[in-house]
Amino acid sequence: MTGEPLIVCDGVEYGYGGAGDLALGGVSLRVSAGEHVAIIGPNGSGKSTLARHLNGLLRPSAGAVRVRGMDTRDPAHTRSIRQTVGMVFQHPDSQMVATVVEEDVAFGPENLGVPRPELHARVREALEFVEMWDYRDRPPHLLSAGQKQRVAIAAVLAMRPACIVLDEATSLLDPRGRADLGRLVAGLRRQGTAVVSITHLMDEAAAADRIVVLARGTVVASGPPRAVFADAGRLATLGLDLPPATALAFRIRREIPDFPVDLMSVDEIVDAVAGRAAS
Amino acid sequence: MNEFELLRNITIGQYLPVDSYLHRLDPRAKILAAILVIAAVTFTPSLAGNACLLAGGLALVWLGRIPLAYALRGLLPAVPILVFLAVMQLVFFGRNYDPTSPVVFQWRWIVVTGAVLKLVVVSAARFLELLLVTSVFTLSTKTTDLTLGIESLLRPFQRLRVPAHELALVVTIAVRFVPTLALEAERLMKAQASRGARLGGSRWRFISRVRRSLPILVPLVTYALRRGEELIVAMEARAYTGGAGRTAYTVLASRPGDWLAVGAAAVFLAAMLLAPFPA
Repeated sequence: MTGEPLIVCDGVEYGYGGAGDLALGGVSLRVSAGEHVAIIGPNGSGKSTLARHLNGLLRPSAGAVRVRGMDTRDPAHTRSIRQTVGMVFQHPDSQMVATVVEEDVAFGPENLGVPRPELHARVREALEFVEMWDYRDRPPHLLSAGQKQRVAIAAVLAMRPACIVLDEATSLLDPRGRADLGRLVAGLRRQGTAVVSITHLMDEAAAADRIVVLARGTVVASGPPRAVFADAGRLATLGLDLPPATALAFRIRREIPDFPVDLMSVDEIVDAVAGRAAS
Repeated sequence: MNEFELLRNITIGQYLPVDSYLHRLDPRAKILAAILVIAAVTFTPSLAGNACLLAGGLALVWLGRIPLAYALRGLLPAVPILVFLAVMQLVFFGRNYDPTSPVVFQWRWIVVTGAVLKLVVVSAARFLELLLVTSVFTLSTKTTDLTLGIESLLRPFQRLRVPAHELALVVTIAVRFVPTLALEAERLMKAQASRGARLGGSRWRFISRVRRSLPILVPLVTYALRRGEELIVAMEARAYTGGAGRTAYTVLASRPGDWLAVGAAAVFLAAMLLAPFPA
């Protein structure tokens, strides 16, 4: 293999038809193996459009996307690109094909032509990973939204991808479903699977290694969460929030001018405050 | 709030998980046997023959170990149609149907002959027999088995360009989306009712029922189209490129005993065709 990262986007441009109106205006992005990247941005910033470029569901009109060096514009690579980069969508009901959970998880590897004994092993492993093996013979409509999304993740995992793209996969879930999914993402990272999560929730973005901020189809900021959230003024002009803990840190700073603001959790706030109280 | 609970009233494709000879039957054999029995219903015009068929249908209910009350409740929604059919036949056939038959009843221009009376009874019986056979079939067959059976039975015709896999997939997705759409319809009905719409009404007032369901149907169709589009993207994302090169998670295995059912159905059909029932 070359030393290239897993996914490389080079000056990707894409428009949905309207002349001069580009959904993506030259986005460059790299996702390395095992990395967790969060993509945030206001509505209509091109987040989902970008996500769909990562596994060749959309092909750039200018620029290029390469997955493990394979150009997504080359139809010969489509199958192995889709195997490498899996995708979980927002709506739990419209990504299930089969009438039984285990058949649905098998759909992806079936498409890849995985032989049958291995197919069964993969389905079991994927369903056990998301703790849904006990539900394998249930029809999908009897599951909760959170359970459906876990099955959707298992369905992608059974294809053994190197990267999973979560396209607002938690936005229709209740807090508990979100927490479950958050734990799954952490588990995926331990396995060495890269995760790209498109999200509106800053708490979720804070868990990433790197945040990419998109606005009007271009990357306006990129870096580790602490650095991105420290630039609160810029996020505010884009209409984006801060994680609750960071927002609190900014409010404390209004009273105590040298209070640190690169804090992302309640524990960090507590430590910072305790540190001040001690000194 | 019974009128809003659509899901509970949908019996098509509902599976009754009990253990019976019919439940264990290989779906391919069951499909063939069902077709033969339905053929027997189609080709039997006599009263005595239909009495035999009705008894046969009840025997199937017993063989599938389906509670009789449960099987009969599935027939309830068809009652208005049966009554409608009978009234139309009684009012409009008159002397045109078999003029030699004696008149039994006459009121102004409405004439009922013996032949029409017999026709009413026979067509109602046939209708019930068909419903009985199909509901025993769906109550004893899982949808995955059904689609596997269809695919496997159609495979020999692939050389004649019958898209066996695609047809089976279409059936699977249709069945998969029945509960999803029922739930959505339920949601729409509640939303409309909460804003003062009058839904439901008497089961017998067809026209007003149809008119009242329009405000539900339009949004339901747009919902179905949107979900369908999302499903296509999700299937593509899971490397679906059509039937070629796929493997199968479940494979049907039949025992020789399964084909006995087909034989029995064939004998039954032959007996119904050849038996000298009085016309």
